[in-house]
Amino acid sequence: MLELDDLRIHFPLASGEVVKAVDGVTLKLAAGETVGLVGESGSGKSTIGKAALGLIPATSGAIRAGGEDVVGASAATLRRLRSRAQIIFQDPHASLNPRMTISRSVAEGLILNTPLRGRALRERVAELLARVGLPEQFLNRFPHELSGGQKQRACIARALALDPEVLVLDEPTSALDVSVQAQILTFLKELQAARPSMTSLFISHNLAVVRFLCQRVAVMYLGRIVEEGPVAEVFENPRHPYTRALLAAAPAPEANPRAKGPRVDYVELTGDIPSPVNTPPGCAFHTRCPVARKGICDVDRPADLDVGPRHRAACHFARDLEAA
Amino acid sequence: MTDPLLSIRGLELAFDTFDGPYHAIGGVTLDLRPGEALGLVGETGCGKSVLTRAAFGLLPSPPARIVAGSVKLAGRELVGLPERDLRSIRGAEVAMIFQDPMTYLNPVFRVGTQLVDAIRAQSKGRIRKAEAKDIALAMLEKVHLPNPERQFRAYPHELSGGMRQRVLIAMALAAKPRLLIADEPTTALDVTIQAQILRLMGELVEDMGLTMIMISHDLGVVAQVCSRVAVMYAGQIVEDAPVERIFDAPSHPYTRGLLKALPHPFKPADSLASIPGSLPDLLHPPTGCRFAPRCPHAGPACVSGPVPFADLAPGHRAACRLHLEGGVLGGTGALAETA
Repeated sequence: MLELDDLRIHFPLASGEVVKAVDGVTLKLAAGETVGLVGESGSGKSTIGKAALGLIPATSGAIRAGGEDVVGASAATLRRLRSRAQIIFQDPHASLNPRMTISRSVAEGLILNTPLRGRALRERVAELLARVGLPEQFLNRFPHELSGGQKQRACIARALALDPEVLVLDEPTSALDVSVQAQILTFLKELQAARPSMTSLFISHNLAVVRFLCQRVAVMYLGRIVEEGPVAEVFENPRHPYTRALLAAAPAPEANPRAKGPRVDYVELTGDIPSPVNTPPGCAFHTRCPVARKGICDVDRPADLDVGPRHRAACHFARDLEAA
Repeated sequence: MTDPLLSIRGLELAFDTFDGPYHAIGGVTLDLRPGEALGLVGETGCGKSVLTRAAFGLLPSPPARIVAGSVKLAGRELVGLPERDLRSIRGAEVAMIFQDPMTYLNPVFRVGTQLVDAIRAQSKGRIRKAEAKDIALAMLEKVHLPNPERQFRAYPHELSGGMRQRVLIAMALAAKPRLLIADEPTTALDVTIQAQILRLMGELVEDMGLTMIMISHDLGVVAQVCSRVAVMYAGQIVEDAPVERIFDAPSHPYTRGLLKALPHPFKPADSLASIPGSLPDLLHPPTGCRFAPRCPHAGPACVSGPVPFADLAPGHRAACRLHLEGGVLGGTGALAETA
């Protein structure tokens, strides 16, 4: 339903250097799946989300979304794609036109793509907003009159207006407080049940949120997927050293782990994420990796190794790392 | 028991607006003993940043106005102190670090220059330049900034976010302040970098005996460093407890709601509980418990007047009627059933 094949997205800089935001990513999402894409800033996760809908041109590789070839697609094809694939961004305030009422924002897509007009259109918009938990009194309000959570609901209603087959969610709850985040996550979970054929790419830096909502997860580091597999499998039996570090660093809401002595599995990374302009040769992670070996990791780019059912890791030693 | 380093008593703060006073802080009482690391937790608009800024006179007045209460640092009253005196306390006795380290470094001066200036200013000029440089380098070493000699000559933009935050921590601690206020110090950082900074802060608390208030919206972050947590809601502290008790025996319905709304990376859940409703309008704060309009346990007694704290265990207090009437109308037991 959404397929990325050896996708590369490079941005040339004025200096002649090249930012390799996405550097050879292959990922296939089956119909009805919610796949989490996690990674730190600069890992390329948002770039992939935008490219999947043709909002950023790909340098090479292929993207198929909602049955359309996105790379090199004509304006007409992209227009067709928009009714089948939608995106929700992190900042709902920036994604709503401040001069349009909420109902007008939600109606836009319907006006462009369906014959619905007048009363039928108004009813459809009211129904969409009601489903995300925004009752009728919100119809004629402007974005500035809504709270962050309410605005994000409006964005979700707008994205769902055309019954998309593919939904990209780019950090949809990162700007929200936890109690509001819980409301949105609960709604998205209900949506999965209500629309069993909708495929979602859920981009997030928050591992706990991905664990809650996704069936599969892909971990990105410097433009590459380093590990991918079923959520429970990756979280409980991570096979890439970066995934392990990321999980160890995730602040779990529990009483002071330090007071109870250092966690056995705690692998703290030293140093910073290298610049995507000068991606390290070989394995991009070798500069920070606790198990990297000279002459291997700094030379050869690791291939994807199968480490379990539908579970792959791009590490030379993925099979040697003892199970957690 | 040692005397508190910081003692806030009944602090009330309002912002004067065209619509009337906005009661941002509604009666906060808080003691902090030397060596304690307190996490101040709450959602947007709960007043956690305003509280610490108000305490040290960092809010412009007008519109901010301290309506009532007192703030004592090592026995010295700060409310009503002239700006001159507050200035000499800030930096030297109380240091702060903030969410976005880039905003607090001047982009056109070298990191070292700014450190030396800050150290000399904190000492009111008693420390000479060469000496300040030695202190600065020692501090950069202490916060584990790689290659301190080189970074000393770098400009802020040449440093990563994590390195900048280390520089600001070094700057804040150079004058050996009695109290460090860290306002969302890792929120702008990536999770692996956040882990490094949290590790550093934990180290400073344990090894240097630093007294700290860490403000955060993230209970998980606070749990890494703090020994005690105070939860704020709508300008008030609703619960204050040792970190273990906040997670193992949360007693205020709001704290419980927050914990149940949080997804856990290692404990899969089928559903999350959300807290219905939204924050009260602090132009017209509710007379009783400010959480009552959203509380599943609220009854008539909750809205009739202010709710005092109930002491539940050593160092554990919660402002909730359910506990005050404990034994009579259920108390801890009644709430435990709904957990």
